[in-house]
Amino acid sequence: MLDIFLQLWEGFLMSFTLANILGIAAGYGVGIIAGSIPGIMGVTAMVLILPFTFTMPPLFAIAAMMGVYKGACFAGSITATLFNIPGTPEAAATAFDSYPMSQSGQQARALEIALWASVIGGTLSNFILVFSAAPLSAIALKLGPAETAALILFSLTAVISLLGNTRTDIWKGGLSVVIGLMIATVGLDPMESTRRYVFGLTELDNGIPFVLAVIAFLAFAEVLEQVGQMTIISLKKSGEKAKQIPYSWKGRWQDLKFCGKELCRASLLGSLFGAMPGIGAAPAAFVAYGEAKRAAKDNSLFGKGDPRGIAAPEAANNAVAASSLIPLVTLGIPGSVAAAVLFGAFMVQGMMPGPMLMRDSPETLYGLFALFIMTDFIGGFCVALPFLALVKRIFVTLNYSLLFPAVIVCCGIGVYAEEFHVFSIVLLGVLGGFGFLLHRNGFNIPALVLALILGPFLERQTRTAMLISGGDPMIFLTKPISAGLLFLAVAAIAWAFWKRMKKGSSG
Amino acid sequence: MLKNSENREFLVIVTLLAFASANGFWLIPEFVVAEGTSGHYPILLNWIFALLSTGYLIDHVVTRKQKKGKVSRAEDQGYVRPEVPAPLESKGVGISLLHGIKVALILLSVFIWVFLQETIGFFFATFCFLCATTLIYGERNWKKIIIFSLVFPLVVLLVFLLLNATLPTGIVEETLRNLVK
Repeated sequence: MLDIFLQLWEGFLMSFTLANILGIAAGYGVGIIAGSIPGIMGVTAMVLILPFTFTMPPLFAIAAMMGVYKGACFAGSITATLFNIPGTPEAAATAFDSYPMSQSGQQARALEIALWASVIGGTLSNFILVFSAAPLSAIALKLGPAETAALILFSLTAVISLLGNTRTDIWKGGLSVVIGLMIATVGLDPMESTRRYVFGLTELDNGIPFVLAVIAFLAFAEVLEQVGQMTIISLKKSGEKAKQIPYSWKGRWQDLKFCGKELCRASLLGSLFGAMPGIGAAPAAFVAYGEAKRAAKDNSLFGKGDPRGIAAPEAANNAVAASSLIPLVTLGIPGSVAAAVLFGAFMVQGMMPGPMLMRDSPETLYGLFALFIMTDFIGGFCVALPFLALVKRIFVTLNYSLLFPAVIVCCGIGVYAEEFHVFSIVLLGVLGGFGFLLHRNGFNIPALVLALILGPFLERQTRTAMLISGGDPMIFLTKPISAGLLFLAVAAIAWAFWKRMKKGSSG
Repeated sequence: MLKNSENREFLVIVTLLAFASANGFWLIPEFVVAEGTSGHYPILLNWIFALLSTGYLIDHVVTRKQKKGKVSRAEDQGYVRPEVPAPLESKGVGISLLHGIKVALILLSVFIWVFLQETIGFFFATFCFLCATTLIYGERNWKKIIIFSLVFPLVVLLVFLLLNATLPTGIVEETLRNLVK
């Protein structure tokens, strides 16, 4: 325990530099702006700045990416509070109480409670990440190829089992995952270095670059989606006219005391949800809201502006942001799309997240943990508070018909900058169009992207396991951990079907 | 409306099964095995894909029959289905069609943008691309379109110059640069 504290302290000494602080602040600012614009998600912003991190020093690049991630997590609640338009799906739970509170002239109070809750939720979850990383990494080092392959398979099935409310969602989720795995096979075979699905194009020999695929499926496809539903924001002027009540220091302290229990409970709940691959922040925020309402002695004010109704979902969704990095840092498996983008940023910087990083270079890892902790405080108090007014103005005056073409150009130059080849932009168009078609037909794009990222690992580990066993697939069933994980994978899918059949809904 | 979405769903499943067949009988033998690569992993993925598509098809057909049965039983008992006007999107024309056309135009613009970058260079190509896409996205103020389409590529060019990275110059831009030199 003391050892972890000492290493964390050394991590702070390494990471507490002016450059990293500026990286966090700039990233947080970008994240806040992106997260508060409906149609531009936090992940989209992360993906768009990813190519610009190629030339940055490793810790600065990760600091900026982390800033964007955390900034976007909080920003969703700004537009939810001011206009009842959640910038991110998870902010919808915050809007239940933050919008009514804002409408009653307590805009500053609603926004500050959301901010405090975000910082507390994120920080608690960061400490859980710090203290669980070393023991989990030690276990992960003992996993062989069969166990790792089974773990990846379990992660993917867990994602599928949590999709939507109908059986159709499960079928399409499964198909999305397989499509992602298929796209990941394009390029040279990882074991034999022979070509697969390259159609005579030498540009495809290295496969479809990770950054390109993520930009195409998450950013470009989303921009294509927006062309059909240009956001019409009709601001409710009544909120603007309401006389604003100042938020005193005494009031801040009372709210913090009043919401203390909910903050801790929601942070722990969010951390638990985040540590499980694929669940995401939105379910955590809604469960935390429901839990806060259920546990409250007097819940008559929930939905009318109860501070606990803001604190609980905000703390939970920010806790998810930090703890979703637990599978990434300890096992080397990204458990969410945002973690997958961070995984790409790590790889670009020549770092391979996972148990080996903890064993070979713990100082770098604790430096990163220190950065994660700093992000919440620097971003929350130095960037978010002064940004609130600016975000409000941007949101009201933003011209979407100019924004989305600019995003397309950013996508284009982002993928071009990776290999300095215009063929990448052609591939962006093809994959983006394909992603758009899939999305329009109800396929799950985040599941596809996760599978696309995990695909090469899954294939390598599966084939290595098969090589070890001399081609006998029973290796996956004879090892207890791998057998257990495969059983869980099958059980997750069976449970998902059973639950939806019980509901009696399909299509 | 229900029939439309069901037919669309059916078309999706048929496309999935057609892809699985094409992948199994043509793409894997031609572009994987013929290249000297082991086809085991792609074949395994294709089997899973085909099985999931088949499962989805069976589920879809069974659910469709169940729904039909439920409706006819209700109608036997004298229930008259009210006429619900279909929303504009489900009529196949209007918003959906317009959305499709806009997306197709944007994708076409992207491919033309790539071609133009190699001929007239990044700046001029991006100017044309932004003029086209801002129009597709609904901007009608020409002053805004021209200023934005000029300023944005300039900013990108400056950022790339600062990062000491190159953008496609194209034949025209290359000739202009040589002339200036």
